[in-house]
Amino acid sequence: MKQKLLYSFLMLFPFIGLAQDVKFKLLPFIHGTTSIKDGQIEAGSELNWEKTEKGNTFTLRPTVRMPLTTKSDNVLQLDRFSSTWRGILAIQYTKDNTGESGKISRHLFNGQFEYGSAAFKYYPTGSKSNEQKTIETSYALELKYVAFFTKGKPEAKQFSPQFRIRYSYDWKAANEVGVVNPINSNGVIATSSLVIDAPGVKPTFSPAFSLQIYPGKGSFSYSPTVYYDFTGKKGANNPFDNLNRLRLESWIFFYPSAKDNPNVKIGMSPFLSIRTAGTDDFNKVEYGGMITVKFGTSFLQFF
Amino acid sequence: MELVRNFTLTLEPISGSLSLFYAFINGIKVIQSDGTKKRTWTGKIPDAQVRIKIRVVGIEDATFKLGIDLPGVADDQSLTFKLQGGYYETEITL
Repeated sequence: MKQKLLYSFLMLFPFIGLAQDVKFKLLPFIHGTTSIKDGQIEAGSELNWEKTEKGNTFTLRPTVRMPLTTKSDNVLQLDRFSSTWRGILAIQYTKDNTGESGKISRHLFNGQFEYGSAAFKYYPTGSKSNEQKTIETSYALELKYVAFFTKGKPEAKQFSPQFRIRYSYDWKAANEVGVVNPINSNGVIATSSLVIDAPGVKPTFSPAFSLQIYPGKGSFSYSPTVYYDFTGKKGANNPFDNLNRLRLESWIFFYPSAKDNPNVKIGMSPFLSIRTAGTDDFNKVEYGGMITVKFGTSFLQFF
Repeated sequence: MELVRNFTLTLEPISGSLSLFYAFINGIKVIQSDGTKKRTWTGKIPDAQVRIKIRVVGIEDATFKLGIDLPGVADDQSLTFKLQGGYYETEITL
């Protein structure tokens, strides 16, 4: 884990050296996410072309994403988590219609392509002497739209509808299983954990919609969110003919006003995941809760 | 020929959550950025009177710092403002 972090920071240094403050900007970009078991980091550069007086910004962001930890099966894993490295190219266009007075509004369109190749080892006979190795290629495509509207007055309500669709073809290693070893020379029978099965892939297609709402008073915002995840059959490209799950979340974000540490938000949400077609290893209805703490973020950033 | 002077304008988050920073000079938009980090505009402005309009969107009473720098004319000036109900706007004439 430390080695991967070190690589990430080393990669940033050349981009920091090139940063400029002109209409064409080249800036470092870093984005990390973590949960109790999983974590990943995205690092790279961000290139901006701005025509500020017209409200246009075009951004190109090449990055690399690396997982920091391994993870096990989880019903909430469909989004941007990947178990192996990815090269990512994101293109973003922002149209901001805000003038010197009147309402404030902006529209953001984002598309990104992710690509990665990884070697997977497994032991089909349950013996370390019979190692099999395969190299597989994973990819994903994501499109996102984020809008923002407010009247531009104290205590005015703020709204940010956000829509996201994502297709991913993500190879994953099979889970480790316990293997009973042959009796050794001392007459002891031991067990070890090995990956027996070959890696697998299931295509997923995940549209999602969220409405960020700030009522104009207080330190809380609200974000009802709905996902509909389509998961295809193992090894297929079509995500639509197998498993479907509907997921509902209702986030409440709190924005602490601690000095010298701006732009932190703490969120919590219950979730309800309902299987609407096909079968999987989870119950038809799964429910639970999530907590998140985000740094260097704002009301606008959700997906 | 119209005289011009160098000018630097900065908007920086201080506390709470800042979503959007806007700055206009004589009605022309020069900053439109999310409020997650310090934003800067550097350029030349007329020697005549200049009108600067700042608009900031955020959450509740978040605070931000406005920095004004006129090299060779005046020392750097910085002012800290607090949003009111998630919004603040102010106009300054130089």
